[in-house]
Amino acid sequence: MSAAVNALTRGKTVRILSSGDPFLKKAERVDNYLGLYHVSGEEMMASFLNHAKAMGAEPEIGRVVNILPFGGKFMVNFNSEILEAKTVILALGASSPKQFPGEGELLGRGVSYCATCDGMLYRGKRAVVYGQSDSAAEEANFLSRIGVEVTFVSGRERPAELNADIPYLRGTIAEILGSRAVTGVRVGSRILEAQGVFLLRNSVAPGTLLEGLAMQDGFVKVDFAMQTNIPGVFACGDCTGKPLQVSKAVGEGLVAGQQAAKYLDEIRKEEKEYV
Amino acid sequence: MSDAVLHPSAEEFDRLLRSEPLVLVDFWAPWCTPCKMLAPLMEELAQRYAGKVTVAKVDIDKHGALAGRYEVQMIPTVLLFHKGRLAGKQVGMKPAGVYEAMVEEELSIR
Repeated sequence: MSAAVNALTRGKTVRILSSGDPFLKKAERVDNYLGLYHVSGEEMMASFLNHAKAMGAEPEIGRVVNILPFGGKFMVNFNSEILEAKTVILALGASSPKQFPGEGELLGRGVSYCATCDGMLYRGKRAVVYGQSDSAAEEANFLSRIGVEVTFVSGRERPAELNADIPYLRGTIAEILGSRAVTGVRVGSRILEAQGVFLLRNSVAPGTLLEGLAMQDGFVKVDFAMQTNIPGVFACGDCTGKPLQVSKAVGEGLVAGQQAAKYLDEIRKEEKEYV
Repeated sequence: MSDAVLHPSAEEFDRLLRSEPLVLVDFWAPWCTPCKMLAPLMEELAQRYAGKVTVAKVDIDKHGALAGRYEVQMIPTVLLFHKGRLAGKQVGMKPAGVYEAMVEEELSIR
């Protein structure tokens, strides 16, 4: 939101795409954010949100599954809609999802991060949906509707929106089974036979989101201008590394927003000179 | 849509692999969003490598048998054939540089 506010002050058009699960909300109290002593994470989040809204930028809730640079722009897959942007600012937070055993090896061979992208391939087959994200139940319902035999696995309680006829199993994935392709999933000591596994977490790992993004020690690598190794892509906040603190995130957001605006102005100038 | 990218039937596909030295095949489906994102990239590759590489797209809904033959389990999957033999494979959407590198490598071996 800090990045958005600062890009907006520079006259740029901004859209904020969010998974809708801000980590900050869970903080009981924050005492080191200057000007907001003794504030709860939730109050602080509300205050940030109101500021962004007042300036005309409201977070849109959904999932960004992939970003593809092409022709000097970026195509962004947001809720199966293809958006186009001239710059991208990543403010993904620090939750770097740990991979399950078998996940890396079987990615693309039964393991998928996007039900609407790959669901059709599993019509008439069995799939396990590991539902961690808020929209997981909806995606599981979608799969069931198109003829996939779904079992929903989650560490939380059964979501209210999940269709009544979809079996639910409480737990976490211990292992994804199969050698050339997925054959099943182990949850505790139970083995669920399946040809597909949809891992619907809240965050997609930055390197999966944007192929070729340089990382360092598990965080997105940036320079002092918050620029990543991909021209036009900036990153800020917890996803760039420690300290994982709000003040730092907000400060980096300012830099990223301003630098992205500057980048846009520079391309525009180049285009004019070229013509 | 340009005519640089071909949309062969199953028989045309086999003929293509026999007649053209380098064929880049994009397995896709109309409901697949990342496939749609890749489409303009494939068009550009077809134009850039016109005369050297033939770019073809195969809709897996229409040509399930072809998809099955090459064990396409996730889309987009892009296969590169060199004189009819499978020379490269990329599963999932990748930036242009990845496909270019795959093609350039085969062009240099020619």
